Amino acid sequence: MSTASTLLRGAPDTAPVRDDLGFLRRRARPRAVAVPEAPAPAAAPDLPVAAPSLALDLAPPAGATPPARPGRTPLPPLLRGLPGVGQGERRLLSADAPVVQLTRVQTGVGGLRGELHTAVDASVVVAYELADRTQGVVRDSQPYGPDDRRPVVHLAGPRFTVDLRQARALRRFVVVVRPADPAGPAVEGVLVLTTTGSSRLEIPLDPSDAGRTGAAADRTSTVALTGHLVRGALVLRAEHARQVRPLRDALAAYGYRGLSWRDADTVLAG
Amino acid sequence: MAVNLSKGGNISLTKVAPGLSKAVAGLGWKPRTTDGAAFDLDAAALLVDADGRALSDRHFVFFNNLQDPSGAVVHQGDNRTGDGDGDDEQIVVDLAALPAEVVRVVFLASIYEAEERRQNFGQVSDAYIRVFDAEDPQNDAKTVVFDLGEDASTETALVFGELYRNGDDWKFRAVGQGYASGLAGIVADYGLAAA
Repeated sequence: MSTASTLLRGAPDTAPVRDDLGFLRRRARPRAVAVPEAPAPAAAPDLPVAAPSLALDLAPPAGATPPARPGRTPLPPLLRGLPGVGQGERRLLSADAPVVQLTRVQTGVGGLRGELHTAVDASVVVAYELADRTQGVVRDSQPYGPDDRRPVVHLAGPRFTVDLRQARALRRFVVVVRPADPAGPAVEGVLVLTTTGSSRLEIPLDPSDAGRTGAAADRTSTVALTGHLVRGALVLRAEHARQVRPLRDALAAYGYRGLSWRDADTVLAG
Repeated sequence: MAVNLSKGGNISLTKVAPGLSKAVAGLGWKPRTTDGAAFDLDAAALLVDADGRALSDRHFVFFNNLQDPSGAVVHQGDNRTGDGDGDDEQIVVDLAALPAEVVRVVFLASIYEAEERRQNFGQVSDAYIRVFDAEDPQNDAKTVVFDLGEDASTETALVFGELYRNGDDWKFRAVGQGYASGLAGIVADYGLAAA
């Protein structure tokens, strides 16, 4: 209950803080915000009667601060604490340092190419998710994703390419490596990624990085690499110590559940 | 009538458009022949310092980085706007808000994955760049146009033109410089790592 005398206690800046109003949640007085000083108007140029050209000055007068620009939201900053990679640099993505974050320029220029080097026959499967949350898989029998006209991911044998011009349409992807022989052991080798600026990222596939699950009859899948587009930058992570037997389980463990499967190893076309 | 520049020519924007504070660079082109592969032409802008290098990789404004840190240069994306009749892509430059270190704003376009798709600027016709006043877009008298003609053939990226400081003035120069090394080549030329 406030009386008339308590209603007016002075100017908002100087009046004491009200603590008798139970509904008043915010006790602290908001800090005064400095209003940016409007620049002094430029002195009118003297117009010589004969000369046709005007010496108009685009720069603000000396000493005046530029007016605050309303409505400009800066781009969100990239994730901090993740190592980048330089042009022409060669980096091994080990279990201790598996992550690399590309800059926005590196993520937008050129394409990301991956090549699998193994001693035994092996195949590459790339699952991806687009910005509109549709998921798809690219494999030998279906080498273009999502379609062959503007493929975001393209696979040719042991080589795959991610079209970074369409990086904004892509949300994430995962690269899985499988032996050609269904009964064979997990693939040993190295997955090499190259960028347009000749940076080289190498991901060793060591079968001893095992975390086996699943029935013995299923084919072994090794998840080698995940890529996420975060705020316009591509974050690549070498996935060590992940070997799940059926392809369906391997992809489901990474959140790719929007696919249809004929059986645990065979995904439906598309 | 719009002012037409020839290659290498330059003009003072304050003379053409007195009171200009926000300029729009509109780039346009027509793909002439393709073999069915998608033709991806992307406009971009580089904010360059006095040494001829981009200030940082955040000062390369393109489809994956639509504005620079100061917010002065904003890429309008792939969409056509009603105001830019015929422009395929537009980049808005707030001249007063450009940082003092920025001496030039270079406008370029590149064909994405040109080598892989075997495309080049020889397959592009009617390429042009025009600079007009954002606040008076329909006024032809305040517009500067540079038609690139059909010079470029094997190049996969092209610097169309640049805005540059001349004392307190801003001028526009028609460049038309092609790069056979594509966007990666231009970016490297201005000191950025394409990694």
